[in-house]
Amino acid sequence: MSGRRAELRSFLRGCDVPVRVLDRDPTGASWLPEHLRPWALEDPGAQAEIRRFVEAERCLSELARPMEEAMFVTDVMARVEREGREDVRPCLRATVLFAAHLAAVVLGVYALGWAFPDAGRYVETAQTSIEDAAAWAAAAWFDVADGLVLAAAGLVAVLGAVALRYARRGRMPHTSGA
Amino acid sequence: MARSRAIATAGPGLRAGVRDVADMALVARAQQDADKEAFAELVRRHHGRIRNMLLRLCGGDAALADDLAQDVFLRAYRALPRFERRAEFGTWLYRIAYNVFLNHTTRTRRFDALGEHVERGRPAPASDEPDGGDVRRDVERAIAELPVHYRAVVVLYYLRDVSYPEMAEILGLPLGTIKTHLFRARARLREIMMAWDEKDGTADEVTP
Repeated sequence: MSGRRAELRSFLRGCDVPVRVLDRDPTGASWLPEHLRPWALEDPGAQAEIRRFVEAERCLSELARPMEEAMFVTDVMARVEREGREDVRPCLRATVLFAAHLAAVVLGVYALGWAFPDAGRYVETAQTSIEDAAAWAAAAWFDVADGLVLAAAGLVAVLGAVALRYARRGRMPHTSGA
Repeated sequence: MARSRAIATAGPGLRAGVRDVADMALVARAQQDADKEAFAELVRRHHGRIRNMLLRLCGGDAALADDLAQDVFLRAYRALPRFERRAEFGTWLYRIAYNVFLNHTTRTRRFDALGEHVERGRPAPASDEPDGGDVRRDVERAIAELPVHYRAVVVLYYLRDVSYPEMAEILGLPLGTIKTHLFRARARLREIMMAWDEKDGTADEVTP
């Protein structure tokens, strides 16, 4: 590639000429740098490159043409009607989810105790632990059965964290319009 | 549902009550009275630009762009009571649209570089007289090849109704960064297209 061609390309890469000017003068007679102009106006390769640049700029400016479709508005309004305002705020939803998960785990522990009486020793310990959180915290590290409860508590914590994360994602940012 | 359809497809007569009302007055009506007719008019006014922006950000995937655009308006409707009217409604919508797009990108890991449906590095064959359709396809592919943050700046810039400060607000970046990004993004866009031309060899063919 010749030095002038490289220079033309470098100029076109950073060129900021309004489309209306390019429309009026697609050859570059008025907007090319003076030292390149005589060569660029004569050279067919340079002109081809300039034409393609101008065409690309025109296309880019036409990308702004809005897409109109009546059905889109209908679809949006149908969704607004269907899903409308959020009944619960994200924070409240996260709290409800967390409480529901917690309740599910507690019920699960009791249900397991009922279904597997042989494991009564462990379940009994777990039940005691749930009823007496302080005692459980002290004993959990020393008892295998309490280890099960610890795992359950961990599960609840993880589910709670997931619920909070989803709630944060679902929250509408930038609502202040500032 | 039937009522919303009636509102959305309302003819000129029915729309007369909202057609000449300014955006902010419509927003106030939608906020205070939950006026769906006012909100439908806002959707009607802005959906073209929002869908266009998302279409370019999604690398030309029209179905996905429309899905995301619906999410944008639904989110806007839900957040409307908290919109403080300090910014233009259109700017606020662009901002929501960009966040919706980013969330989608994070969730799916798509569009980091290029949409799956876009043929990478396969420009339309160039010729002496560039055909509008070919160049348009090349431009769209080149935009899709840009990194997300450059793509967003270029798309907003060419939407033309967005000023630099508004771009900064929409993308959550300082004004100076926007200008730098824009300069680099446009240069990158042209580099991509020039590289295609060079690969194709047509630019040199016409040189005697």
